[in-house]
Parts: sequence; C-alpha cells; structure tokens
Amino acid sequence: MGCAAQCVGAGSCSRRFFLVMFRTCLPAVVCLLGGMTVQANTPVPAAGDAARGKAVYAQCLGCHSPDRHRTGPKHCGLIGRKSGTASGYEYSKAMQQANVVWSAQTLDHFLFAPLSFIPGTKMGVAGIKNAKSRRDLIAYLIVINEQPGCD
Amino acid sequence: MKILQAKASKSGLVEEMTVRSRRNFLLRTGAVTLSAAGVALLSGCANAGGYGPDTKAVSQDVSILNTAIGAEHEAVAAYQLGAESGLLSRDVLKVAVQFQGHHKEHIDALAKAIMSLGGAPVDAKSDYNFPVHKLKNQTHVLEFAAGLERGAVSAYAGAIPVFDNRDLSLAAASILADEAMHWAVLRSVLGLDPVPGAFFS
Repeated sequence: MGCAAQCVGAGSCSRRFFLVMFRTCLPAVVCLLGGMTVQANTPVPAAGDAARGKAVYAQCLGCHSPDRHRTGPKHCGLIGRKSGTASGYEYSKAMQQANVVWSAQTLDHFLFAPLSFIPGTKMGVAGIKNAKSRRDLIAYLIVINEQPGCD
Repeated sequence: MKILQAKASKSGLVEEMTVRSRRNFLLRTGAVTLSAAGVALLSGCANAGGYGPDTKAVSQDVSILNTAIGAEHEAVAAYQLGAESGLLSRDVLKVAVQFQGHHKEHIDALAKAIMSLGGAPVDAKSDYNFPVHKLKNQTHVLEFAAGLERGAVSAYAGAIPVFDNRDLSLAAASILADEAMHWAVLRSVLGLDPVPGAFFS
C-alpha cells in the first residue's frame, strides 16, 4: 500500500495506528509539498539506535556541531528545516536551490551519497553506505534536533 | 599532565615510569612532521590538464579542497585558543604549537592546489564561536583538540574517494595520516588507547 493510501485510511483506525501513519507519511507529504525529487513512495527508513548513532556522529564532527555553525551548519533544528535556510550559515548555491525538507527519508538519501543527491553541495564526502549506520545516525540527529538552546 | 602527575604520586614507581614513558612518547611523536612529499603532491598535482572536458569535476574538487581548508583554519584557531589559554603544560604546549604548524602547512598546500585549478581559497573566519566556557583545564582542551582531529580524519577519509583527480586523493591521504597521528598522540596524553581499533571511518 502506498503511503498516501495509508494516510487516507487513517481516519477510521485507532489512535495508535494514526500516529504510526502520521510519522510514516509526514516526510513524504512534506516532500511533496516542497516539490522535491525524492519519490513519495520511497520507504521511510526504520528507526535507528540513537546511542549507536552518537558514535557514528563522530564522523561528522570534523565539520559539524549540534549547536554551532562550523565548516558545515549546525544540526539542531535540522529536522523539518528546508535545505539551505539555517540562518548565519553560508550555503552553497546548490544547497540553497535544492528545495529539500530534511526528514528521516531525505537524510537517508543525502547521507548515502551527498554529492549525488545534491550535486554542488559543500559536503564533499562519499557518504555512509551502511544502511544501519545511517538509520542510527538519523536517530541521533532526531535526538539533538530540539536540544535546549537551539535557535 | 595534572592527571598523569596525580596518577604517578598515587601508585609509586611503576606509575611514575608510565608517566615518564608517556611524556617521552609525547615529545618523540611531537617531532614527527608531515613529509615534504605530501606538500609537493598537493602543489604538484593541481594540474587542470589532468581533467576531462567536464568543468564540473574541477569545480567539485575545488569545493572539496575549500571545505578541507575551512576545517584546517578552524583547527589552527582552536590550537591558538589552547595555546593562549594558559591551561597547557610546557610539554603539551610545545606539541600543540607544532600540530598547529602542521595545519598551517596543510592550508598552504591546499590553497596552492586550489589556485592552480583556478579557484580561490576560503579565508579563516573572524570568529569560530568555540565553546570556551567548557574549557577549564588541560584535559578539556586536549579533549576538544582530539575531537577536532578525529573529525578531520573522518572528513578526509570521506573526501578521498570523491576527488575526480586521484592525485588529490593521494595527497589528502597524506594529510589524513598526519591528522590521525595528532589524534593518537592527544589520546595517549589523555590516558586513552591511542589506537582504539584496527579500522576507522
């Protein structure tokens, strides 16, 4: 069943089912509204382990920080943010024009191959090819997304 | 070093020998420098003629090199912060300044490569907004520096496969090795296993 069809049917389901559907479908809906190129029926990555993700995040610390812009932009507030819009950070034109809203789904694509997903991004790295590592990292990014002091 | 000295006074001769050994290790490894070959690789490899007709490949390589320069500038600033903090012992300060010098050499080499490809190297930022309030002793400073070095290793490891010009990959590997040595030395001084695993990403 496609994500959109699941969402349509959510009204007659239990609250728990609705919440699951909401979490599952929201990224796709956001993607569709943003007019991005990621296919809406691409599966949302399964939830990862944030504790393991923190260890994976060490790979990001050469350029990123949860709470301050460095060579790369800060990560708190990332989830739900449109690409290239964190104030105070100078993005590449490619990132400014990418028209991507960061969700578990879009991050999974980007982290797999940044330069393929958004050609011209400053994030010139090969990407994380291990799907579980990506899921864990995304889980950690979700944890730090709304940490206190993030503006 | 306070931590190391404290350990020595607690546990007698064996611990003291360990401390001396660690200090000697620090001084010896501090003398290690990036070989001139690494610099030569970067400045010599920047041959735009080595690229095909696709100019995007050149601009992508320049972008990756500039990201690396940005991180190197931050490392130089971080070591400057540590050096001026008054928190570092004489031995550690000496090595920190040497490591900072390595990062400056990386910047020079990377900038030359960028310019020879027709690009413009990025300048250092005026302010890095470092978490100064969290740096209250030498251990904090060393942990902060080690985190930057560890991150730099990952950044270069991630960049090496995506350079279009494979000579740049080779040169980046040379810099990566230098960053990894910095990380290992800092971990050793912190009393951690300097080489915690067989693989690294």
